[in-house]
Amino acid sequence: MATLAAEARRARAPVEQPQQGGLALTYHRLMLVMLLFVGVTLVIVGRLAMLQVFTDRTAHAAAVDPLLPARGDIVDRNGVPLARTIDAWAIAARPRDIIGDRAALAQQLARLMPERTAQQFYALLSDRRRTFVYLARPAAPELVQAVNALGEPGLVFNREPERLYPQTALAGHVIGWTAEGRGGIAGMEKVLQDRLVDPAQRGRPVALSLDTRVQAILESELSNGVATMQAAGGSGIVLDVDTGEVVAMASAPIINPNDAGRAGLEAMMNRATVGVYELGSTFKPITIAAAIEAGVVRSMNQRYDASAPIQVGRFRIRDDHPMGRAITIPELMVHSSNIATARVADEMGPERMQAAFRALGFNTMVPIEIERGRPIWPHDWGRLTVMTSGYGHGVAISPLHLALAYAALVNGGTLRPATLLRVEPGHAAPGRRVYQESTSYRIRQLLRLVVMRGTGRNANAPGFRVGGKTGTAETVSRTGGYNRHQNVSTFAAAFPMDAPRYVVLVMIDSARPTAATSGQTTAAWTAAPIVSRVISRAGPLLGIIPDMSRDIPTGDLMPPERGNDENAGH
Amino acid sequence: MIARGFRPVVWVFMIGVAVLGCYMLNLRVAAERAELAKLDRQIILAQQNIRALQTEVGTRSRIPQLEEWNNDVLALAAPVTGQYVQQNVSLARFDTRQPQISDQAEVRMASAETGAAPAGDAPAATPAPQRAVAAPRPPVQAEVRRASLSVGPAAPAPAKREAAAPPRRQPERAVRVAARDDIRPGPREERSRTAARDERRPAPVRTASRDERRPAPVRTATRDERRTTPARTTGRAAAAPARGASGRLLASQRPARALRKDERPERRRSARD
Repeated sequence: MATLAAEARRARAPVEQPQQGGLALTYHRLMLVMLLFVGVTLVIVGRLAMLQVFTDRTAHAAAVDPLLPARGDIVDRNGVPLARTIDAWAIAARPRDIIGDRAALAQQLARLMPERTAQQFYALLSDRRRTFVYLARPAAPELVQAVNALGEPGLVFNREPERLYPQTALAGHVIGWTAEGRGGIAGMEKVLQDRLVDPAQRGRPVALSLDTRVQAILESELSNGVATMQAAGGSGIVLDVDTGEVVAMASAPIINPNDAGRAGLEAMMNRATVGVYELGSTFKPITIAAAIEAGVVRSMNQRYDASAPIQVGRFRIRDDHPMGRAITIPELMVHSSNIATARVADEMGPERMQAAFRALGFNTMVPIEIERGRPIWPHDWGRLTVMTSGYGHGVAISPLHLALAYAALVNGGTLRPATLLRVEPGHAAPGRRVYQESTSYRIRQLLRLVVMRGTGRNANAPGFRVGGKTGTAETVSRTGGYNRHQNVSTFAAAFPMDAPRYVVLVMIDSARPTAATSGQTTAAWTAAPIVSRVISRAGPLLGIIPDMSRDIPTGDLMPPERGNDENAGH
Repeated sequence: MIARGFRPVVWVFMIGVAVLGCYMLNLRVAAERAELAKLDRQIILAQQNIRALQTEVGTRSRIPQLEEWNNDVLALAAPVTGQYVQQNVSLARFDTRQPQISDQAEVRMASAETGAAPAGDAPAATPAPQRAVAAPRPPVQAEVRRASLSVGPAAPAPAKREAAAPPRRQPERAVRVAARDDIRPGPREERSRTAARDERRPAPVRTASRDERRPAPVRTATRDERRTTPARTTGRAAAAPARGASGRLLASQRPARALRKDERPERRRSARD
């Protein structure tokens, strides 16, 4: 018994202790597993909560806003789209995935897309080193449909953003163009590059100062003129005299920014800002205004001798229509006398003439956003240079320079920089005063006289009170001298002269004498009629209704002509 | 006792119902959200579509293209200075510059009365005014001129060709009517002629109302070209101010049939008047 009891006690102890220890161990293990589960769950829940709380969804949403264009729109001053980004189709191939007969496929592709031959397509399709190769980009939807009908799974069709200029060649030089992967490379596309791709701003279109309707009129009249006169080129500007906004700017030959790569260098150049020319007699009002400001011309009746050509060294200054007598300032302008203007400039002297041109910025690049050319400023301001610069020879500037100077001449004497961005009313640049109000008024009278009675008659648009000045300069030939038979003909005008609103400038480069211009290449027969047509078509669109009952009084400058005056005025 | 025994079951059931309810609610909200997202996507798609279509329309009706069409087909010209009339007085002067023509128009009214006897007959227009045939021809031009002049609030439409059109007429409509008649002269034109006869009578009333007309400078367009090409005058005058209108018309390229359908109810109405 005792042994049994002892055995039992002995036996119980070793049996029971390991049982209890095992149970505790199991509990421990269970607890550990449970803690592990709880811990993992907590970590997951915590992570989820963190994601939920700290993820910024707004930035994500903005980045993929499907309505935000890849590149901002450009519109004109009235909101007409000039440049947009659209989703265009692109046709590409994955050479490794092609399962059909490559040669047959290449044949079919060549039939649909004649830009490449079947051999070229075959080479593209069998190039197994490349995983992806574009076949057409952008592609018209009809082409995509036709290629898709071939049923080859190795051909893929993507939608890619593409820059489109809905008005095609309209204002191509101003808007500029883009290049694949480089953004804007010319014109306003280049100027506005950062603004157009900025995610914060590209949703809103950029408004240019251009008016599409006026631009279309200017371009069509200029192109017609250049075509009929078989000219090398031409340019035209319509400028708001009070704000410096360029309402229209054209350069012929034109360029289509949708296909800018195919245009030649000649077409790429914007003659209105990049080209610099000696603009001839259009300088005369500037010279006269400077002479009035300087006190050299004190009265409109002051006479200058124009009876004989002036000989300066080897150079002879002469008039196309010699007057053969001493003439007053209005006569000087109306008959565009080089001799008398040279005498005025001579009296001004080199210092004052240079100061007058510098004040108008003729020695620096024209203030505008897009590409511009550097004016040619004479090194040596000898007596001959001073005298010829008075009538626009020797100083080469861009047409826009001249348009800005005319704006200052007629708007009361304030020179403002030109801009291609729309200016909100009241936010125009303050500008810089270069002429007195009274000088500006005199010049307006003189310019109106030129159109009513002088060389600018062909620029008249009845009721629009046009005033302006012709300028015919001989082009500089390759040998260095002047070419008498190749002219740069310019007409710079402003209207309506009783309260000027717009400057219209047209320049024709190297027009040929044709029947349409009565065999002439001078500005009166080439540029002036274009100005007249542009003003009569665009004037009402710009808010100027023709009115025969209003005009700037010019009777105090020149007694009205008998007989002829009736026709000139109407 | 039994209820006590079932209590856990009831609990389980209730909790189950609650959970299910919550889940259903959740599902419902999720579905609603998905619907909303779908709608958002549709809106965006529609907006993208609108933009694409706007771009297409803008590109097709680009100004160089409109100008090309104008040069080829319409030959519209910008109004010249004399056509901008600023005061009522000058407008009145503008209108009565040739009193003879309006006199002749009166004569023509008389001849129309004789034609009224065989009403509705197509040849009636030709035989009746034997003596007036020579005279009426120029008046047709004169009256076309008036029609183009008066696109103001109250516009008379006495011209033979467009007599059937309603008195109040939009400029675009003038283009369409002219175009229609050019395309298909036929029974419809005869009907319009009979209508014209009725139309002619109230002419004096309209002349009186002309003074009240507002000067609409642009619309009084192209008086000068009118004489040379009378057939096109209405279209020219009407479309000159709004080149966009004619361009739209061209761009849409609506078939002549569709245009006529538009005209028909108005024509009937005017005939009854």
